[in-house]
Amino acid sequence: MILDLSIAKISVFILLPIFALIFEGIRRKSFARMQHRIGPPIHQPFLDMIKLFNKKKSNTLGTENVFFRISPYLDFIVCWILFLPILGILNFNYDFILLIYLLVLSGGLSILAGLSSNNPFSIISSIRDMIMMICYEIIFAIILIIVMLFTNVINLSNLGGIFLAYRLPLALIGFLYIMTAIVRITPLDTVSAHTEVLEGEDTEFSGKGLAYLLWSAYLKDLFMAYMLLFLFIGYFNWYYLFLLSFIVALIIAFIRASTCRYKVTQAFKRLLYILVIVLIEFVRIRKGWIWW
Amino acid sequence: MSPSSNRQTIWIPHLPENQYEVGERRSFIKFSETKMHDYKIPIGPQSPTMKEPICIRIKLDGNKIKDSWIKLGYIHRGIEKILETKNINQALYTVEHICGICSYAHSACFTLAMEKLMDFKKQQKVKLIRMIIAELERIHSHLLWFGFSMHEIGFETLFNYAMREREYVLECFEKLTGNRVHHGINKLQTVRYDIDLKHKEFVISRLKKIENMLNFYIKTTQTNKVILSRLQGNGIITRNMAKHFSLVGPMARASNIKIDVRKDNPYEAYEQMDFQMITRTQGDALARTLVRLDEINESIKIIKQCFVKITDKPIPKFETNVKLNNGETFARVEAPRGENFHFYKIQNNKITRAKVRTPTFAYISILTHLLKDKEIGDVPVIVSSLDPCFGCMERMIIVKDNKKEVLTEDDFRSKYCKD
Repeated sequence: MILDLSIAKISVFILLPIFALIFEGIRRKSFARMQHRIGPPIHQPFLDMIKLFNKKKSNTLGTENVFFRISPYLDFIVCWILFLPILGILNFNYDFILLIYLLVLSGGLSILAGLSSNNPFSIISSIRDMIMMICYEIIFAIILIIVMLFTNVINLSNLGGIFLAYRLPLALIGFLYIMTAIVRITPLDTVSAHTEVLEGEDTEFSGKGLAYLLWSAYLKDLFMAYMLLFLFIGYFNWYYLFLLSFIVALIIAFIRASTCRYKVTQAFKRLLYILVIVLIEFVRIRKGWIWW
Repeated sequence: MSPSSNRQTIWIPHLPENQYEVGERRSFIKFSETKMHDYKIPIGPQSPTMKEPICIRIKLDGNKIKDSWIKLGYIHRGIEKILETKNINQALYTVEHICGICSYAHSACFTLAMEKLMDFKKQQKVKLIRMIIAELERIHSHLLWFGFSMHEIGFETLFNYAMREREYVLECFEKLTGNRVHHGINKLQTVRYDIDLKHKEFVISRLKKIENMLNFYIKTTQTNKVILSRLQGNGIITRNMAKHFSLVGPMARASNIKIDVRKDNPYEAYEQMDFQMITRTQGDALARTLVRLDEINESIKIIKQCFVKITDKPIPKFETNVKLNNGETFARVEAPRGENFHFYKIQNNKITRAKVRTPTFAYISILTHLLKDKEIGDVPVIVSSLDPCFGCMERMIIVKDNKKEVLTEDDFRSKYCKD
């Protein structure tokens, strides 16, 4: 059965963008506290969104480009439907392949947004994102396949209740590392390094367009937090997952607060090392060398 | 090399001018035809890369910097000209407004120059109080810079921590002088406020807090691998290069040139103090960072020695009607960024010519050389490692026929002073 609908699942799915804003609020607050700052209130992302949605539409030459106008909306939709397979609403065999495709698509759409905005800084940022994506999407796919091979499950919604963090340590390290690139926190936030490329791909956007781009980024952050819990901690139920994701927000804030950023060449090199580490894990699982 | 006169081609270089009419529909296919690997980007005057009003235009080939130009003239205030209209007492406070970070260095330089003209011998306590303020300012400037340079490479936490430590110094300023940024403590022949034992305890307790965290900063900078990967071997200035560009201050000291006005030509009571001149041999961004951090330690040492030597003897009262001899005078002091030089010509108790050479004036020429063949990611590191203060550097600007040009003194002479 492909569509597996229930009121609980659908209500969780509809509330996800709100969760994403709360997640971002907690992330900002904990980051500020770690830096000896008071920081914004937890509901600050909501206020930001309200402000951005009330802005007038900008009328620049750049908006003549079709992709400039539609890419934020597409990005938001793709980031939202990333949750369909892991929520179990879309339920079929080998659905993790769909997940890989969707993640690549959401990354590609933010690159497209940067390229179509016709700003030199956005273009540099998009090129950087392309370079990084080549590596981290492959690593993400390999990690998903490792988990599937290890648990012998071909359906994401059947995966759950297994604490894999200590059984697949190299995969966990790889996942945490690429999470910094996808969530765009230091050390691998070269794409949105604001001292180098201003606001990166979002530089030229304002109002609703910017709101959707930011919101999709928050959804992606929440998605990565859920994936970390889903793949390595085990699937208890949705309420636990929601609470545990705040701990992931703390972890993300801690990583961000304790490092500085690599250059794009250095970041790519680090990602290559991680690729090797994850491949070692893959070979280990394939050969059946499981000693613990 | 001068920037192109046509503004449009610089700001949106990959779109030839007038290729698209306003309102014309720009298709994606046309966009993909333009060259994306060769373009120029502006950094500044409003950019997160630099909080200073300057524009650096960078020509890029992919990720590599091919060429760069500097455009100045965004913050020229004509302070040298303003000084010519002021009397000596007013000029003392005008001079302080040259810079917001090293404001004291300018007023110290001014008073030194004027006292030289008067042949006046200061009281020992006045000298010590001036040194305490000068060294506190050095600590504040270096901490601000350290936080800022860490922010440039994405280490937001150290930025906030450094700001917290800087706040301690500002508290000390508030206690000692009543002001946080423009202290206004200097007067000709004396200082405005006395320092007593209560202040001493307060300042020493605050310095202790800074000292504790400073060791942590030095250790982090030396051991954190990500920081090392960004700073080590980046923006190297060799000893010969530093001499050729006549660098001063921590920049020169990081390239193993022993230059420090406090040691070479001691003013106030620096010859009585026991402190080291910090030098390093590497000449890269890391060396510059460590030199500045170590200098904070030396400054703390000097302040502690000053407090030991301070006595209860009251400071002399200041006079408003100071008579100056006619003539020329100059002075130099060690500002946080290096040697600060002031020259004045006095006639009938009025300044007829003022010339200020701030340390950043020496740094500006080397910036474009350092940027060549680097990546975009190196720009913030290199620029911040120079610790530039363009606000106090800007000197000459010509506005003629609605065209603006910024000139050095030599350019000005050759172009406008032919008679």
